[in-house]
Amino acid sequence: MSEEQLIELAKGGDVESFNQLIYKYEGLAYSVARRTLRDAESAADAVQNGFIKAYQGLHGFRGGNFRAWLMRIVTNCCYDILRAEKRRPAESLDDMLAGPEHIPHLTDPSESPDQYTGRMELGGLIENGIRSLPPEQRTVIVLRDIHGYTYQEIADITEEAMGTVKSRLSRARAGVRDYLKHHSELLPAPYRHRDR
Amino acid sequence: MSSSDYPHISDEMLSAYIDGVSTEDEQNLIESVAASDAEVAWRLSSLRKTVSYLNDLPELAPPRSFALAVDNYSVAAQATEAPQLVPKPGSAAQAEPTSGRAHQGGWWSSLQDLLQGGLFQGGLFQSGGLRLNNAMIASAALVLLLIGGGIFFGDLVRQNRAMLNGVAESSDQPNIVDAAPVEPAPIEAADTTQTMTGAATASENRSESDALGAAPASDESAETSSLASGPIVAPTSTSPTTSTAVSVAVVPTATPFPAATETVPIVPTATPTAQIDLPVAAAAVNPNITPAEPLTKPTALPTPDMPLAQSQESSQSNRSTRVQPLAAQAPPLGPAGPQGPPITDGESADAGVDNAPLKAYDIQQDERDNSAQDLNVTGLEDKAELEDRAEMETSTMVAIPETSRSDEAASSNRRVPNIGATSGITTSTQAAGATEFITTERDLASSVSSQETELMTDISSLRIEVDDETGGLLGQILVRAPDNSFRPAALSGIRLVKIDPAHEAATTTIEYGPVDIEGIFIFTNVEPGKYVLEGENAGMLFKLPSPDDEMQELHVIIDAGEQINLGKIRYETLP
Repeated sequence: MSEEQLIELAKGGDVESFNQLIYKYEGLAYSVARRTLRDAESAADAVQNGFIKAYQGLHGFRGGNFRAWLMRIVTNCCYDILRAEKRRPAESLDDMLAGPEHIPHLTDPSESPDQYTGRMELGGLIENGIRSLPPEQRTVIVLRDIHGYTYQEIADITEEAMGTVKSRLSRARAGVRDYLKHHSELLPAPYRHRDR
Repeated sequence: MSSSDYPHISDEMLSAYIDGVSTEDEQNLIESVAASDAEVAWRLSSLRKTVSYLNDLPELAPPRSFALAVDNYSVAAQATEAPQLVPKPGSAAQAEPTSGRAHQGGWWSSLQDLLQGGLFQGGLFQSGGLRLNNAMIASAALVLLLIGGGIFFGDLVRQNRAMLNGVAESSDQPNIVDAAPVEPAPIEAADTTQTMTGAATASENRSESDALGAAPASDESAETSSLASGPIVAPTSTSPTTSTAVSVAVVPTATPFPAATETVPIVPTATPTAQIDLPVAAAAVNPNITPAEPLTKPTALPTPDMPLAQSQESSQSNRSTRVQPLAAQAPPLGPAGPQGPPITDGESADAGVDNAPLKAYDIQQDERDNSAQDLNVTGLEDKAELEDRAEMETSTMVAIPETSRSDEAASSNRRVPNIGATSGITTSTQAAGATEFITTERDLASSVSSQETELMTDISSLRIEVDDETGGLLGQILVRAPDNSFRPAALSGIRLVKIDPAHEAATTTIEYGPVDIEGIFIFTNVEPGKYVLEGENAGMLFKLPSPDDEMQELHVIIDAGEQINLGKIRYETLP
């Protein structure tokens, strides 16, 4: 059954059809929320609330990019939580460390243990770099560079102008780059930037 | 920091180039410059590498499924009306009534339309709560069914009489007089074990079922109530304390009830139509979900520019401890966002603090709870400024512990700041060794007002860790208050703009840092050079003038390994 069909059924009250859409996008939604909010519980709340609101507001979806429409709701739920938490100027160093869910699974059987370890270390460091960014930059860089959204989709999701999206993305990338640069000794050898 | 001859080739241009969304002219420029300028080449390759690292990050696996619980109800979203309850296909709610009466689709909707817009114009069913509306509709439906049932039985009796008397009844009109008298069953208190859908508590379950009259009092009314077209809360064995039980049996036709959540009114208005308690709603879906606990461990954030040794040391020593904010008792460094008026106005330190340029989406604007009212959507149109403020979270600020004044006075290695000749600032050093800027025409004793003594942080006692390659800068900006005292300036942040020594023009290299509630700003890991300070207030930027000469800009020259403490910078006025 196509996505459009599922959406139409869901609009008619078929929760199971909507759940099929949830199964398709919950990983993406959680991934974005988790990297935007920095803790798993808040991310789960944001995603759950986002899906509930999406279902209740499904009549407002009039065709187009459902993925972007859904992610806009989830992203706004993330921002709701951030506002409720009154973004703190400092946070625990422990929270900065990548949790187990951030460790990428070993997908290449031919990868050596050292390579696997290095890749996981790099992933953890990059996750920390992302966490060091402001929420708006986190959202943009996660959507663009991790999940492959286009600039226009990101602009639709964040309800910002294209220029703002580009600006935030560039700052976010530079921020992660600078973070990695200043933690270069933590990077596995193959991944270290050249010193300047 | 950039030392390239091409400062106009910004990271934004390079980022767009990497994504293939730059113009042809920009592409040609970047490619030609990258081939000749090492700085630009490095920036481009480092950004590319960073993007590739990010591309390799996996999608995070969710800890559980977020599918909505279906149970015995589903919520139909309609284009213009509030969500309605419809029976789930195949559920008991859709079973035929025992009387064998055929399902008459649509008549319930018609009844509701009649009640809402016809006989009861003026909003009888437009007002009131969910329970009242449900009860009224159920009662009306019950009455109608009773009348209809009476007509049916009347016909049946009449036919029987006719058969007995051998006289066929030719009339099709029901003889109401012959109908068995049927009285509407009173609404009885429901069994306490009955529950409603959604996130209702036990007590609310009971009151909800009370309103719906779930438990008929007599056999006759039990029969008629089984014919009722209102929602019947079927007795279940579910514990009243269960917040996830869903056991609403919705009788035959689509009953236009609002979504079975206690906070959803019937009529979609501008008022919030659904306020979902996140933890409870989540629990309604998955009982294993527990409400999120707020983070309660604010500690210093290792800044991106923090030297590695410093970050490692701090991470090792502070891994499980809190790094105190700038001053033990002073408010933390001002978060991104407009600062409120000076404290002397009586407002809290957190007044007006907001940072995220957040937008409400257009689907269910009303569903945002009241906590969202403090969101700054007030009309700061300059997105760049909003982003600058947002960047304060990752600014090169580090919380440093307050040290005792006496200790610092004894061992201070404070030096007279190296101020450019254009600044016009006169400097003086106090006997205690602390460095402080004061204007020559002011007497130090008289300028220290009772309000200043209330400021918790002694700017002269603050220190910044510097290394051999970078320096640090800190200061405290005060402005004359109406009572002639000096108060912290109401600035949201300070921009440190590096001046190109060759062209005496500001470069794109800008450091941005917040100003806390006491007017204190701190910059660490600052590349050596000459800087001008810019203040930001309510989206406006202005160069900080020299306290002695407002026509002169305040310039600072920072050397490697040098900490510059500007001390208290006092102004009569600021833009």
